[in-house]
Amino acid sequence: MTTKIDANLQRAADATVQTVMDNIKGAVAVVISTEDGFEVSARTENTAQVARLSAMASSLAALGAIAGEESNLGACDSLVIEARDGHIVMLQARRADVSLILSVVTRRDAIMGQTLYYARQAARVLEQA
Amino acid sequence: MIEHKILFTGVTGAGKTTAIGAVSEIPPLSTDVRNTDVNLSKAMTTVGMDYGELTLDNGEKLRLYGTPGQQRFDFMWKILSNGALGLIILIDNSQSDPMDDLDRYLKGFAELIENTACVVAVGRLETHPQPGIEQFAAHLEKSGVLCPVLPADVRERDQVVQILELLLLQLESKTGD
Repeated sequence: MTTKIDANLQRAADATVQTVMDNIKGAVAVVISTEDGFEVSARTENTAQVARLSAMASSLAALGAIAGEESNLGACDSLVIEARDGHIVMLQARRADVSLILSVVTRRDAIMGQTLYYARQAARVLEQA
Repeated sequence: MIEHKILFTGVTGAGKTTAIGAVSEIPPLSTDVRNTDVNLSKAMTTVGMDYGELTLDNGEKLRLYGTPGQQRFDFMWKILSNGALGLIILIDNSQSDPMDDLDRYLKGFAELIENTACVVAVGRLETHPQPGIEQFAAHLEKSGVLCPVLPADVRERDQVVQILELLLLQLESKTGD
């Protein structure tokens, strides 16, 4: 498989993954993937399977989008999954050429507000790269 | 009212979204996004599921779900299989190895096929006649899977309805109703 990601966007994605990982205390994995589920860039400190998480982020974002539309709530900007031992935050970075999904996996002790803040900043960076 | 959950699966481009759209009496729900796989000559691809509804002449209501085709979305195959009463495998005969494609879905949905009913519908036979229906049937028999196989153009509503009715007949014969 080869995805259509240009070199500039790839560099921006690599830098963004690093920035998010560095800034969010408790982050254990950061994955940027295409909206059809292919990994673009990732860093992980746990056993998260990046390819699997990329595909799941794609499905969840798409399901979130139709749930929002069917409920007349508009576009789905983010998804938060609260699991027993941590959280997963997924945000869309909408671009004209290719839309990306940023997934941040955190431990339970991560501060949600901080996670959302840095994740939204990162999504904006990806949108403007 | 009797309701059945029916699942459509098959390779990307085989026509799952098209089949559901051809028969659904509600605007079908779709989770298609832009395809970025340069090896796939398709603008959009399903990443979550498709959904549509059809009421048959006998009053039975079918809830139609389509799976993503790619193996990387096989977690959705499992989720969507829950509660399904039958499976339709769409084969695109223009692909490089349609028999291998069939095996992938027979394996991926083995439990559902074992417990419910299954129909295999082969598309694009008019331009790609090999393997033929008899070869698919022989392959299914050899694989120990009892399910009918037929040619189909899923753009045609009548043909999709025919597949669904065949699936229900298969289900009835399996459950002895």
